[in-house]
Amino acid sequence: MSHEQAFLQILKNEREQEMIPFFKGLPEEERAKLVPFLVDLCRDYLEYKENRSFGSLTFNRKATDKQASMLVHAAFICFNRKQFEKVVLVWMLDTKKVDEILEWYCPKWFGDYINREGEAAFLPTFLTYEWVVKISDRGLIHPTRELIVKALPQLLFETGKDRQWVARPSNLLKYPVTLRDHIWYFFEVENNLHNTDRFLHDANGTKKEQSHWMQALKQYSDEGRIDRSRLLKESMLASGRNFNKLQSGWATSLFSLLEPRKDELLSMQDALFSALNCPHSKPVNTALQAFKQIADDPQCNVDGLIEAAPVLMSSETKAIVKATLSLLDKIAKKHPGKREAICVIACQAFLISDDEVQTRAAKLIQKHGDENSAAIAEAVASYREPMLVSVKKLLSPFIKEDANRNTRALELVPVEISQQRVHIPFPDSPDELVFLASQAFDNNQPYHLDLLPAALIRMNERVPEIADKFTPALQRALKLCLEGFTTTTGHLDHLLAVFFVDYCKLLIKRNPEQTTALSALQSEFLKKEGETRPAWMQPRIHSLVSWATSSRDPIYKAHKELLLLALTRLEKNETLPLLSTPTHEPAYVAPDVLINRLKLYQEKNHEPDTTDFHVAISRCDLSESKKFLDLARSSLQGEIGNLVQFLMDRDGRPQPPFSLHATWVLTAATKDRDHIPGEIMNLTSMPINYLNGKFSWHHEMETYTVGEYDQKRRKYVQVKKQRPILIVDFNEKSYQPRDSIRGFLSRMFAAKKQSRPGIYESIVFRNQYNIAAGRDMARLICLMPNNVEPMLAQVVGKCLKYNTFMGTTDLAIVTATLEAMVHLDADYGEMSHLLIGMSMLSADKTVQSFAGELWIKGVSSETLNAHRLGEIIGVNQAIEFAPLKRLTDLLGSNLMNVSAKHNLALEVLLNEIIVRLPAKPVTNLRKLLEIYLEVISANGSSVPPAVLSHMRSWHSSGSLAKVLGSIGELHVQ
Amino acid sequence: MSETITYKYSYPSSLVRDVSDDQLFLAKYSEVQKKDAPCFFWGRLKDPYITARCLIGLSNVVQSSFNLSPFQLALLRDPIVTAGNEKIRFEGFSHCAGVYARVDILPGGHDGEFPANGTTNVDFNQPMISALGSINRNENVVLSVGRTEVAIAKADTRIVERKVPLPTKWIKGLTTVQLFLAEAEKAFSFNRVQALQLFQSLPNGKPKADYYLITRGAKPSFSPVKSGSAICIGGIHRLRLLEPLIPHADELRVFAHPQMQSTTWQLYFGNVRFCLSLSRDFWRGFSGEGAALESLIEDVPDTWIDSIDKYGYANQEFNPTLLAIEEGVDMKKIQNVTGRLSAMGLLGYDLDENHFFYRRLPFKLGRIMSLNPRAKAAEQLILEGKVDIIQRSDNRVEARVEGSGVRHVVILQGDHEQCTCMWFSQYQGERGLCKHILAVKKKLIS
Repeated sequence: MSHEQAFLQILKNEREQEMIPFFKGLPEEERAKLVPFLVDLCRDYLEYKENRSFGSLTFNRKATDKQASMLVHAAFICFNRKQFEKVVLVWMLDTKKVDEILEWYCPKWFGDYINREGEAAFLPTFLTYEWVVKISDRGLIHPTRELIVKALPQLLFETGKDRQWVARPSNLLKYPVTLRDHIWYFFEVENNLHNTDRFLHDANGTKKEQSHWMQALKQYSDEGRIDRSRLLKESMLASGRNFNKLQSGWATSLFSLLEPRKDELLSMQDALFSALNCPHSKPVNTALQAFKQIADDPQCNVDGLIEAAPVLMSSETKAIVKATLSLLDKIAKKHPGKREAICVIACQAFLISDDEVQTRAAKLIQKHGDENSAAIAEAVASYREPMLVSVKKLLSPFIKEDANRNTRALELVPVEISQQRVHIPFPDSPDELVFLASQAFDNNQPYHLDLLPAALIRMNERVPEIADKFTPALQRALKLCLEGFTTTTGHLDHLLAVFFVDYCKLLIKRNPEQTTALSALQSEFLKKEGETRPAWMQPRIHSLVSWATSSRDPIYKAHKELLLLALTRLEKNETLPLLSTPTHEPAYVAPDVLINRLKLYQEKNHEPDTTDFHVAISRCDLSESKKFLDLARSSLQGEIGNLVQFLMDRDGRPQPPFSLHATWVLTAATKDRDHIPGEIMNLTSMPINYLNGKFSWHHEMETYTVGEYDQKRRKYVQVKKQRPILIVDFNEKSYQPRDSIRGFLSRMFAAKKQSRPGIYESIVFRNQYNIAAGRDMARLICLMPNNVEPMLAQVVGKCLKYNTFMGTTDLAIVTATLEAMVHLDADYGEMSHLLIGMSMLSADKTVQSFAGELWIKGVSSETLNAHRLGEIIGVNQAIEFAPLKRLTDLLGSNLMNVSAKHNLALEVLLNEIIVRLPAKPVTNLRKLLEIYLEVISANGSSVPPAVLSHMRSWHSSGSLAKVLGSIGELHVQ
Repeated sequence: MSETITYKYSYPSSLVRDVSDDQLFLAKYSEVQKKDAPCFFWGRLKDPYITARCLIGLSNVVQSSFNLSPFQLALLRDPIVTAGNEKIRFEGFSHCAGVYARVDILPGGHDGEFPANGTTNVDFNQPMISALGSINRNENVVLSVGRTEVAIAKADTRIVERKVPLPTKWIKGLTTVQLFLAEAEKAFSFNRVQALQLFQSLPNGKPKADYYLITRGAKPSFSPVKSGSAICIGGIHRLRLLEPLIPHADELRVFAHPQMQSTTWQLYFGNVRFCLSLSRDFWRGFSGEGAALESLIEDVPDTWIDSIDKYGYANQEFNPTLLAIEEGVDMKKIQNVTGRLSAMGLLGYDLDENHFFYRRLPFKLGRIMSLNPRAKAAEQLILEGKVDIIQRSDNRVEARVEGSGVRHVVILQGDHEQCTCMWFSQYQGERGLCKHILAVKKKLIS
């Protein structure tokens, strides 16, 4: 019988106990000869194969569990590493069998293999620390530090009765190498000991959370089995080795548990300095506390501490700054010669707008600083701007008035607002048109969407001669159609692509000879689409008429109608320009250009298209439109002339006839949404808040369910909670859009003829999860740059409902809206105020910063009502809609001390917020009051009686006493 | 990435504490070292505390990544050092090749000798970096780039060998960033207090939006809104790398590329400088910017490179005009030379002194030259006859270049180039020329 047959018999009969002796009896070269046979056998027995029977699908392997184990260990004996890893998962090895084999044979690759497995995220169950030490002692492996730190944590724990974990420190004494060498690896290599310690904190049935590893290390250090001074040093040095926060924190906790003595701390100052550089706060704080204990000792490296102090003082963690100040105070007491340097460093604390920190630094300077020291005076002077008023008072002896220094710098720094309109270059040659077409789908500029159809209309006659140059643009458009919507394209990019494909079809139809390249490309894509489109799917390359988003969002209606109009003009070879094409960034139409375009229409006796006309009116630059009244009077006739004059004359009244109902309504809303004349409002059935955006809003409590871990029941449970939500009252039930049946019927039977401007009617965010809206938002806002309020109402109502963003779509929409607002100079209405207010309370810093910039701009241009914004924020904070800290952080970092004018507006804002806050102090109220104190002090204002009386309810709160006292004092003055 | 580079250090870098002084030994390795130069610099650091902090700052940069996985992060690449002409410069890149950092120790910052000039990789290992953190201001620290005979006697003789994937992005970024530096102009200068205030306004997290450095009165801050003279910073969270150094700096100068394609933040500490350059956005490395592409259109004669390599020494100022005169080359051609040499890893740029300096990257030239796929693709287009010059007049060239499935239109008018390809349409030339324009320009020259 051959060896192959013999092994097969053993395998088939599952004679497990005979397997290892069988191989042991074979010389190595014979075992090597068995390899091809074993490879086939493993494939046959171990591979899982599909099994279909009685309609069900299962996967099975041929081998029984016993046979699988036999094959795995046979492979261990005979295979090289590559072959072994191909057929065997490490989890299939059995320690007993491997030990039995290792008695007489060890593969050359064994040590490397085990070490590499030890680096995996999860250790195989057989790979215990004890086994690793055993095989290491036999010289079969040189375990890596990574393997040891993975395996060792479990050595301390055993399972006792009822599967309860038991911590047994004596296990650490089983092998001398454990305490001698291996425990130090925990401080040198990234490991998971802290997690093991945390998850098994209740071992031994202890109720109190405790770290058994730490206790064990402390016990053996106390008993002298571990070098205590090395343990102390290593636990501090670990924080300088770029470990994660938890691992550094664990080592620091061990250090604290060991309660180092003063002499020990003195001997390990290098390690303590190393901990000061740690990016995590816990080791830094612990090291600072340690230094505080030894700061009085002559052996303490005081110079080193003074050198390290500037970095510590710039920490974002206030506790570190406070601890540093406290340490510096102690050093200054002991070392008079260092006082000046210490006072200079302490000044850095004034960059933190926190009363407690600044006061502590100021008291240190007051206590140790020499009033005649030039260095201290210079340092104090350089930090004067961020210094709080109360601190300035404390440090008044150190503040030297400099005649050349402008003490009211704020007044001299007006905030720059650029009102200069930037002209949009119009392509004036076919080549420029080609390059515009090739980049139009990238949304490089929001106006490219308008510019491309306008340029095509103007150069329609010349296009056939350059038609082949459009192939790259057509290729991009077709690709966009095939790919559909992606996260990097907006719906409007797709819409423009569909328009361009339709236009190219027209070109091909009219000029077959000049468009062979276009035609070939189109056929290629149509073929590709036919091959790849599933039967159930609508064609992806379709006409512009049938374009719609999947949720049929009405908000894209105006853009689609404009492109359809352009396509019709191109089909009819009409060269009349579109009225709505913007001439200045971001989307304004210059008044004279609008007048001249309309004049052309009248000369050609051509009625303007409604959507085009409406968008043109909405985009008309009204900043200096009155200048163009004479031009309008002399150029335009009839009702359109009246309309344009009404639009451009701020004080003008509408002159009948009013046959263009919707246009009059839109013109009035564009010109002055807050004062739409009654005769115009009679022309429409649209509720006025859909025109001026003045929707009411309120808060409601929403009940929601969340999964939480129940510590007692030790499982996740569903818990009902409540949270406030912001509701904008759109009254959608009473307002029926025209495309609904009820809307249609109400129009049919209306007592008088009423119209609604289409672009206002289509401002509805139907799909809350429109992921492309962020990319489209700027272009949507550019439809009506003079009156963005209705659009903002949708943004606030749909995306700022909660105090945090529910998804990236909402965040993208709000960010894009705020960014677009920065480039417009529209008056801020109710919805602008609501948007700015809610964005100031946002969890996203960028959104907050944008809101801050809009506030700065609004105050500078006097379009922002600080009272109203204060009311809005106050109402939200009264119910703690969002943590007050968000607002105080923004106030401190972005809004304070922008200019004197801004500080006055800030004071108004804060007055309004404070009187709306509840009698029970909300979290972080102290910080808000500190900012308030700063602002009124800087402004030299007094506190209004209403604010003062509202503050009385907070006097019982101890933490507010100081700041309320200061505010009270100011009032008396 | 299959190709790897292996750093072979004959010993690990270390900080050896001694009774009299501390010795910072930096182990070096170069795969192109011409002769056996055991030591490039040996001498005392005049401000060891600041130098150590700057080197820690550099190590933070080379260990950082803003778009790579933790696995790739584990494969650290070491910084390079150039010693010579009384200056020692340490350079490094983040893994994503979007952040470049350099520490310059100027003539007054050290007191030592340069036994040999050169550029080399230096071993930056964690124990050595941790030890740097414990250096105090008043200590005596001797820096040794490579080992002197004396030092070897004391040394740990363990050989360090580390394999990392061939850092093509790294090398390419290192060559490209010099051209960005050369074009950058000083935009702002802040004292320490202003710099600290500015960094307090750094937004938390990793904002995706661009931020702008603006000033209101004397107070600088970061804002998402652009205003007048603001400079644009994408991936602003990368600036946190500078935070630990700001409290020590005397001054912060900010330099911006004219088209805002990069910003450079230079901190001054007496005779030590720390320079940090950020690419346009965190997902865009310097490696893909193609700033050097235009210079690569025209070949530079090999004799020039040989002569520069032969006569140039580390940190020597590079003067292209002088080279043109000495080599008798047409002055018109000289403008491309600097870019070409920089792209070959032979030049670095010093913002303060406003000149290029010679330093040969310690990588095989073949590796560096294979790093410009757009230039290679352009050559391929010409070879395959895919470039047709349709019209050529004094000021205007129109061409058609085969793309994937379409023929792109390329028009060169004066200094203005345009192409209908996707790359150009998206970036409008901001990230260097596309392969189609490069091919047309190359064909015109040939």
